[in-house]
Amino acid sequence: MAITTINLTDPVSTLITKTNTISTDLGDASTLFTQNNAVAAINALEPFSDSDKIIEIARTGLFEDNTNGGGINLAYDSSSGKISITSNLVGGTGITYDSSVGNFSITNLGVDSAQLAALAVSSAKIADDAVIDGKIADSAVGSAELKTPVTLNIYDENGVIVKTLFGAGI
Amino acid sequence: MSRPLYYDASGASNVINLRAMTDAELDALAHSVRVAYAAQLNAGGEGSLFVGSSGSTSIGSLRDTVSTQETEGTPSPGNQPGTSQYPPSASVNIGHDQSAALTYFRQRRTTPPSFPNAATLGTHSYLCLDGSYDIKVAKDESDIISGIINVCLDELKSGDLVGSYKVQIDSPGTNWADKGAWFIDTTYNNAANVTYKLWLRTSATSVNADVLPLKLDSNEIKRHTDISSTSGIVQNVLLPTMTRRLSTGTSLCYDVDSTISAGVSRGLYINTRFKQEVETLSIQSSPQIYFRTATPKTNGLKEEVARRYLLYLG
Repeated sequence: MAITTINLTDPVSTLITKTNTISTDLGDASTLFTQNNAVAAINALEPFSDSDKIIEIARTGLFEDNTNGGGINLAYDSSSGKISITSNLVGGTGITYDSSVGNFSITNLGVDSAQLAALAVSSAKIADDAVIDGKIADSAVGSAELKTPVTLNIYDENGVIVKTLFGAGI
Repeated sequence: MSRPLYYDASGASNVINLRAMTDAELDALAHSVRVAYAAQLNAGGEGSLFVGSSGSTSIGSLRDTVSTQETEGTPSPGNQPGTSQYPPSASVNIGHDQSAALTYFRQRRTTPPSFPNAATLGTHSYLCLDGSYDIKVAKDESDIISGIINVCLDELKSGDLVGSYKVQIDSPGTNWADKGAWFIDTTYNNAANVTYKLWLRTSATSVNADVLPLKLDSNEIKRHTDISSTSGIVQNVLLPTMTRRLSTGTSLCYDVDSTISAGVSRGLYINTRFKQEVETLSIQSSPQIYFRTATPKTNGLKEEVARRYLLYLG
């Protein structure tokens, strides 16, 4: 948009129109936040011309909130702008905490059945040949669990099956 | 439950069927037992019948009678040539009570064999089911009797009769061994003797195919390979068990009686004699004696004196 310029030759009506245009482009000084004229408003922006000032302002707006942080605490240094972790983490039952490196680990034999969800152990988690007979409950193995099952039917002299046995095939 | 088990190979490859034998499937084995028992009888062994005056167990007797010729003479009263002085006809009759030898019938029942011991049963017996349908070796005498021997006894009594006797004049049919004369009904002058023979059925004419029972061999289940009458299972287990029935109740036992008082008849034999007579007259000279002779009429009627049935009591 071209700059509005008033010429000596402009008639009064044009002078009025261009003056109103300039007023419109300048805006309504009453709508400024804190200043009542454009110069004051421009001067108010002076602090933002310095990045340190901006950083300082930003840092003063941050703070740590450790609500529900448990054993983990955040510490904020507004002068440096650093956030650091200060914790009182300790190992719980079955779990140890190495504060030097911040690692949690499970102690040997630290997991019992209460820590495992139902159906959480898949066949991939069980080593080959690891299930021994003592780990199979009574009445737990049916014919469907046998590999290439072979059926043994015993009939009485009337042709009625009186007993059926299942065995693993070759 | 004590029928022999056998392996039925007709199932799918991943299905093993063990079946207790039906009557039809037991036929061949039960027949072999009876053939073996018949062979034992044929050789005069335990249970065999024979004719003799002593030994073993008497089961009856029968006396044979023969009508005889009778003659009566009257001496001449003196010098009365041409005068008939024959004895009156009414005073001369054929003999009716002349006894021939008494025939004794006996059955050999002396020393029944012992029931096979455990080792013999373990080697030669068969597998069957117990009351819980578990598999076991048939080692109880009662199991073997109920499982097989009773079938043999039924067949022997009212089936093909293999292992049993009959008394008949002629052979009862195929596979009946001639055991010789049982009773000879002799007649005057041997004119119309009748010989009743003892016959022994040694085998049947038709037997179902072999169905091989299972056995335990070194703790493995295997099939018997031979169930013939000379096989181990028959000779060492089943035949002794069957023979032992001779000493228990009336199984395999015979009797001889004039009526069918018990059991079933295995033949009727009758002692007869000529009933009619023919009179002849003759004169002996020096001294002169007039004879009247009554001779059994060998082409005349016969009458029954006594009858006997051979009875199978089993």
